[in-house]
Amino acid sequence: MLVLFVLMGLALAGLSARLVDLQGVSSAKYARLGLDQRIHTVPLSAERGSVFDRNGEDLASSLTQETVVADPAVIRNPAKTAAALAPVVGVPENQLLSGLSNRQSRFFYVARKVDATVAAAVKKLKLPGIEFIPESKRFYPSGSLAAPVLGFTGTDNSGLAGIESGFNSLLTGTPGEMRFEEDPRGREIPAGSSQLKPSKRGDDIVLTLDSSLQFQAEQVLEGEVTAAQAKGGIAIVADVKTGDILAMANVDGGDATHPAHPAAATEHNRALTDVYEPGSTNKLITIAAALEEGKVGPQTPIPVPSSIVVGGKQFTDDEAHPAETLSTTDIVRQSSNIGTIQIAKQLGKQKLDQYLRAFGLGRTAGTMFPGEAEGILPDVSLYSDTSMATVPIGQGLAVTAMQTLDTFMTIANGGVTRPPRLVAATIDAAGKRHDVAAVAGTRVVSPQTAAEMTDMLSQVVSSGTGTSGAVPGYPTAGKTGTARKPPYDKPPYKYVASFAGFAPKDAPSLAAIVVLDEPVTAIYGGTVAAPAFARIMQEALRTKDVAPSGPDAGRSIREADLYRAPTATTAATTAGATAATAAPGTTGAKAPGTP
Amino acid sequence: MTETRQRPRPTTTRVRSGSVTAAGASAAVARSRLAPEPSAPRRARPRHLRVVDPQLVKRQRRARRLLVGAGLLVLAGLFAMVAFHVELAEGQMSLQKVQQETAAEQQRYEASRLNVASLMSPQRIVDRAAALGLVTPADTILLPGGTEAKKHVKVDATKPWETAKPELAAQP
Repeated sequence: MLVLFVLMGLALAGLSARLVDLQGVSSAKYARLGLDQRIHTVPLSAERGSVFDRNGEDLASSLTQETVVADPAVIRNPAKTAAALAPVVGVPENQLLSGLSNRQSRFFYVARKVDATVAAAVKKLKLPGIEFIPESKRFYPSGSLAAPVLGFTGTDNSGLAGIESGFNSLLTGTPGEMRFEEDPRGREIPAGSSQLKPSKRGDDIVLTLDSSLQFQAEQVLEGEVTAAQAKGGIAIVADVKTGDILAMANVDGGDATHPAHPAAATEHNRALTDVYEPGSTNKLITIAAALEEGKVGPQTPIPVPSSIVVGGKQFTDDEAHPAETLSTTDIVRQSSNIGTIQIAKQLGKQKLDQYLRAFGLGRTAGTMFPGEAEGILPDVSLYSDTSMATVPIGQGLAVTAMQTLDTFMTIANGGVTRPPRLVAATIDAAGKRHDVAAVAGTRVVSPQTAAEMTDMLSQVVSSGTGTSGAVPGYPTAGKTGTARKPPYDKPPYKYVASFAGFAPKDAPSLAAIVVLDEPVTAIYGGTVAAPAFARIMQEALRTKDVAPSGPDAGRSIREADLYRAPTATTAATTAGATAATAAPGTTGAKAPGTP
Repeated sequence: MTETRQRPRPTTTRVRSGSVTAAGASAAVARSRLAPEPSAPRRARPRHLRVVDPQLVKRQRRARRLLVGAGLLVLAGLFAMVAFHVELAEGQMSLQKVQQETAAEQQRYEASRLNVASLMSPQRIVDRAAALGLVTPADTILLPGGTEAKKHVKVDATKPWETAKPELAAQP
C-alpha cells in the first residue's frame, strides 16, 4: 500500500514538474512553437511602377496574371494530367510529365503568368493538384517602341536593361506580407490572429519621350537605314530649351532574311551607350573655340593648301582642289579638313582640349541611363604627332550620339550647355509627382560666338554640304559628318555618316541628330543622314506646334519635293569631307568612290 | 441582525369527544391531580405561521429583483456580445467581399488601361489607318507663322451654343 502511495506521489510530482515547465518556465518557448505551427505567412509582391511618356501614355505597365503550379505529390496520374494541360498552356507534354512525375517535389511550375483565357481553361479542367498563384507580368503596350530605352524585366520582375534596370529600385516598390493562423488542414482559423503588412507599389517614371515623335523617328530612320543599306542607325530629338529628349531611336539594319527594324529591348540603347568617331560634326567645337578665343572671325581668310602634312602624315580635303583662301564660314560650309586643321593650329592643343571638355566630351551626358558611355577623349599629354590634325576634324576621339547633339544644343541655346534629360518625373505610390530638376547649364561660349556659329551652320544647310538637311518652312542650322571606321587603311572601308542640327535657326526650338552606321549606297552624312534629319525635324516641329517661319511658309509643297533627294551631282558636291581624311596610320588615303 | 420574536403558544388539552363517559372523565381528573406539576412551562416549537417584518420583506424583494435584474443583464450582455460578434463577422465578410471586388475592379481597370494603351499605340493607329485606306497627302501646305497663324481652337461642346458657335467659326 505504501509503495503504491509513493509511486502515485512520484507520478504526481513528475506531472506537476512538467506542468510547471509547460506553463511557467518554458511557456514562451512552447507558445512560440505553437504559433509557428499555426501561423502561415503569405508574401505579397509589390506591383512594379509604370513607365509613361511625357504625355502620360503607358510605355510599360504591369498586370497581375495567374501562374499555374502543381503539387506532384497530390497528382495520381501525371501522364493524364500532362496530356490534359499541354495543349492548354502551350508547354510540351514531355516537359510537363517530367515535372509532374517528380513526387518528391511539392511544387512545380506548369506555366507562369498565363493570360485570363488560359487560366480559365485550366480551371475548367478541374485537375487535382493544380493550383494558381497570382504573379505580376510586365507589358509594353506599344511593342518595340523605344524598346532599348525602356529595357526589359526578367521573370522575377527585376529590371535587366534600360530604364527598367537603371531605375529598378524605384520601380520595384516594397513587398508586404499577410500572416494568419491556420489549422493543421491549412484552413484559416476563424477569429484567429492575423496581420497584414500591405505591399507598397513602386514609383512610376515619366520619361521625356513623346510616343508619337518616337514612332515617327523610328519609322523615318528605319526607311533611311533600309535605303542606305546601313548596318544600323540612331536618331535623337531634343528640346533646346529644356534639354528634354523627345525621341531616341535605334534601328537595326536589314539582312538577306530580315528587313531593317527598330532595335529590340535586349539591345543596347546605342544613342547613349555606343561611341563612334564623329567626323566633321566635331568641327563645330574647333571653330567655336577659335571664334571664342578671337583667333578667327566668320570672315577671316584662311589659306587652304591642297594638302597638309602633320606629324609626317598627309591630310587632304574630300575634293581635290588647288591652294586657295577660304573664310572661316566657307571652311565650315564646305567642311574643309585642311581649313579646320589650320584654325586648330592657331588655337593650340590646350585650348582645343579645354573646349572639347567644356562642350561635354569625355564625360557622360548625364541622362542617368545605365551604361551611358563617357566617350573616348585622349588627354592632351597623350596626343600623338597627328592628333592636332585628327582631333579637330573629329577623328581620333569617340563620342556618343547624345554628346554630339549636346554640342549643337549648346550653340542653339546661345552658348550655354543644356544637359539632356530622359526622366522628367517620378510619381510615388500616393500619386504625387516629383519632377526631376533640370541641371543648370554652364556657359561655354559667348552669345555672339553662338550666333556666329549658328549663321555658319545655317549656310551649311542653305548652300553647303548639308542641303538635304533643310527643313521646309523652317530655317535650319546643321552640320554633316562622315568618318571612316577603323581599320582606316584596310578596304573595304566603312563609314559612319551623320547629320546634326537645330531649327528654327533664329529661335531654336528643337535639335536633332541622325547617325547611320556603315551605309552602303552612299557614305556621306549630307547624302544619307541629312534627309532623315529633315523628315524627323519636320515632324518634331509640327508636333511641338512650332509655326513655319522660313521662305517656304505659306507655300504648298508636293510631298515628293518636300525633302530634296540629292542627285548624283549634288551628292558629290555636298558630301561631307572627313571621309577622305588621312586617318591615324594612313597617308593621304582617299575614300573609295569620292569624287 | 433582526431578532425574531415568537409568542408562546397556549397549551391546550384535548378532550376526546364522543365515547367519553362520566366515569372515565372522573378517572382522568383524578390522574391529573395525582400527576406532579412540571417545573417550567415547556416552550412550544414555532410553527409555519408567523408575523413577518415588512422591512424584511421589502429587502428580500429588492434583493430578489436585483438578482433577477442582474441575471437578465448578464443574459442581455451575453446576447449582445454574440450579436456583436456575429455582426463583426458579417462585417468582416462584407469587407472581404468588398476588398475582393475592389481588387477585381482594380485588375479590370489595369487590364482595360493596358488594352487602351495597346489600341493607342502609334503602330496600331498607322496600321488601322492604312487598313482603312488612308494615305499620305500628295501636298503639304506650310501655314505661315507669326501673328497670322491661328492656333487650332478646341471647341468645348459642353458650352452653350452661343458660346461654342464663335469657336466653331474660328475653325479653318
